[in-house]
Order: sequence, then C-alpha cells, then structure tokens
Amino acid sequence: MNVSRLPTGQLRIARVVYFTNLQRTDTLEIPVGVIGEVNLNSLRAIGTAFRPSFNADELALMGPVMRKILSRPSDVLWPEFRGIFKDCKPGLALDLFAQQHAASLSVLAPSPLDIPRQWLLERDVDRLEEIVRDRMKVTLTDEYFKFLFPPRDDGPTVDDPTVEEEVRQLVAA
Amino acid sequence: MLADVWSTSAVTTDTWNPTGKKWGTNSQPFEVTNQNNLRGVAKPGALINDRCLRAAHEKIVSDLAYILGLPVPPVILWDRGAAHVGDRYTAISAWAFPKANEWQIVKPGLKQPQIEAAKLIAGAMRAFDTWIAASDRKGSHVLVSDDGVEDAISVAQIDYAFALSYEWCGIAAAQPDLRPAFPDGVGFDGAACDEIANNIEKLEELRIREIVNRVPVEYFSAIAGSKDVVSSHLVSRRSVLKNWLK
Repeated sequence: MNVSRLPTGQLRIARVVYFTNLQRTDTLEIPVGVIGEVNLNSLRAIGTAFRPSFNADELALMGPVMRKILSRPSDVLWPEFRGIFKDCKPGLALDLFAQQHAASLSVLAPSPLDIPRQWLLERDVDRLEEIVRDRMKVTLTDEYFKFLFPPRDDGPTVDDPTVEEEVRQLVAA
Repeated sequence: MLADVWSTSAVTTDTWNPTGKKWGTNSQPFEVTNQNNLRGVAKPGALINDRCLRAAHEKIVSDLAYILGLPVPPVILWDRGAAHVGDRYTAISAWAFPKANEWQIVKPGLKQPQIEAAKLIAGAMRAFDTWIAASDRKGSHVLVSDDGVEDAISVAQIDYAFALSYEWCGIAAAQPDLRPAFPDGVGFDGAACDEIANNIEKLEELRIREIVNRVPVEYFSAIAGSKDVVSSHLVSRRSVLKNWLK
C-alpha cells in the first residue's frame, strides 16, 4: 500500500477581551483584539491585531493598572507575546501568553483554523515566510472584525497587524 | 457575603449556565452565570483523564482558607448531571474582585506599603500552601485587585487543582515539603507565617474532616480511598508543619 505523508501544521486564533466587572455577567466586556500562532514543519509565526486605542468611556471602566497598559495595547502586549515566542517551544506561545492573562484582561481559549494548503506544500522557505506573513495579516484582520462586529462608535479601525516568523531548517521528507 | 454562604455548603443549588466563553489554561475552565448574573469560573471544562480531583481540591482548599481567614476565593461544587457529556463533577470559583490583574503585571508598579502588605500575605500563604501541598503556585495564580488603592493591596490566590491528593495519592511526584512563598519576589513575613502555622495546628480534627467529608464521594471517585487520604494527611500534617517551615 502506498502511503503519502502530507505535512501537517497548526493555526490557532484567540480573542482577547477586557472584563469591566469580573464578578457579574451583566456588565460590559470590551474586545481588545485577536492573537494567532502558526506552527509548521519549517516555520513558526505569531501575530496580533489589537485595537489601536479605546474611547474615554471604555477607559473609564478599566482599572488604573490595565488602563495604562491598554492605552496602547500593541506597545505592551506585542513585545510580551514576542518575548514568549522567542523563548518557548514551537506551538506553545499562544498558550503561554494566555496563561499570563486570564483575569480582567483575558485571552480566551484559541480556536483552530484550517491551514492553507499552500503553507503545507511550499518548499521555498523564503516564499513560505512571505505567504504566511501576508495570509496571517488577512486572517488576523478578518478575525478581528468578526470579533468587533458590529462596528463600534469610534469606528472599526485596527492597528496594522504585526507578524513575526522564524524559519526552521527544512526536514527532509 | 458570598464566601460566608459558599463556605458552609458543598454543592450549589443555583441554576448555572455556561456562557460559551472558555479559557485555554490547564483545566479548560469555562465561564458560567447564575440567575443573579453572578459570573463564575467552572472547571474542569472537559474530561481530563489524569485522575486529578480538581473540583474536590478547589472546594476543600477554599473552605480551609476561609476558616483561616486566607485570601482564596469562594468555591462551590456543581454537579452537571448524568446527561452531561464530559466531567459532570465540577467546581465553580467566584471572582474575588470586580477588576484584577495577575501578580507579574502588578509587581513592578507596587508602592512600598503594598510590598509590606504583600509580605504578610506571602508569609501566611507559605504556611498554608505547605500544609495542603500546593503544587502549582506561580505569579499568574495570584490576582491583585485593580482598584487604584496605593497604600494597601488586595490579593486572591487561585487555582488549587494541584494540591492535596495530587501528590498524596501519587498523581504527581512529591515535591519538597516546604512550599515557596507567594506572592513571590517580595520576601515573606515570618511572624505571619508562624501565626497561620499556629492556627493550622489548632484547627480541630473534626472541623477538617467535616470540610472534606461534605464533598460528595463522587468527586473522589477517580482514586479509591482518596477522601480518607486527604483527611488523614490534613490532620497529621498539622503537627509537623512548623518543622517544615523552619
């Protein structure tokens, strides 16, 4: 019997939310953005798409410590996620980041998305890096708008999604 | 107060409904809400076949902490019923504060009075965590109220699934008896540690057994005899606790 081995991979996206009152469910939950992680045989990547800012009403509902952090989410949360990504085993960055944020600021359980077949079959790592980056930006933006839909009063804007990849040596099939 | 009610009963009589939100941490906790819009965190969120008695541990530890005046949020057991697919025997933890951040987020910005207050908590919890063999203490399991107060600190210690029978019944290898002080990085107050160790030593055996025994036997079903192991270890460790804390 001939058995062909199809390369496998993982793409997961998680929503990030701020609970304005952890003790009650009849209170506002503010969407902060989405984060994602890709783990392929020859490449790993993370990405984020956070709201660039929050309106005054939203900021007033935050605690002072988190208000400072979320006044510009990408400036604090992206470097933290990136630091975890640099230090951890492949495929664990999102989970480790989520473990650090499970209170007022919560990273919710990630959802798996279908891996684009092109990611699994592309053998040129430079090309793979490019297509993963481009597709991740689209995916993150798409998931971000799904999360924030319907549009908010201050307009559905998003920071330019940030993606970082790390190429691993291709393993001979 | 919610803690006064939940600490005197084992199983909830409220109607709880999952909201659909889940967290991705170890026990796959999920958000639930009751008829009064109270938010709870229920766990485990799936059948996890490692025999860890998560729900029982969370409940017993919370109730023990309550009678000692220690900052562990209230927990109540929730039997999801025979028709539930997954682990029907869950525990619901309440949130201690309306707004809270993990210790590692807050620590860099603490004022001196808050650091001094945190040392007292760390000292007290060092004794408690050693007594109950807490296996999984870390900064992300210490929540600090985000209330703007700068001359005091409100702390809650969460996630005690890995305690009690987790090591005592061999699910995980036994760690050294003395457990680290949390919140970490601020030192701990020795007098606060001694005080709680004294209070633990004085706890009546009957009280301890009552707290363990009121947890329905089904919550211990993954490990035969585990209920007795938990009771007997809690009772016997009272008298040797001070030696471990030296």
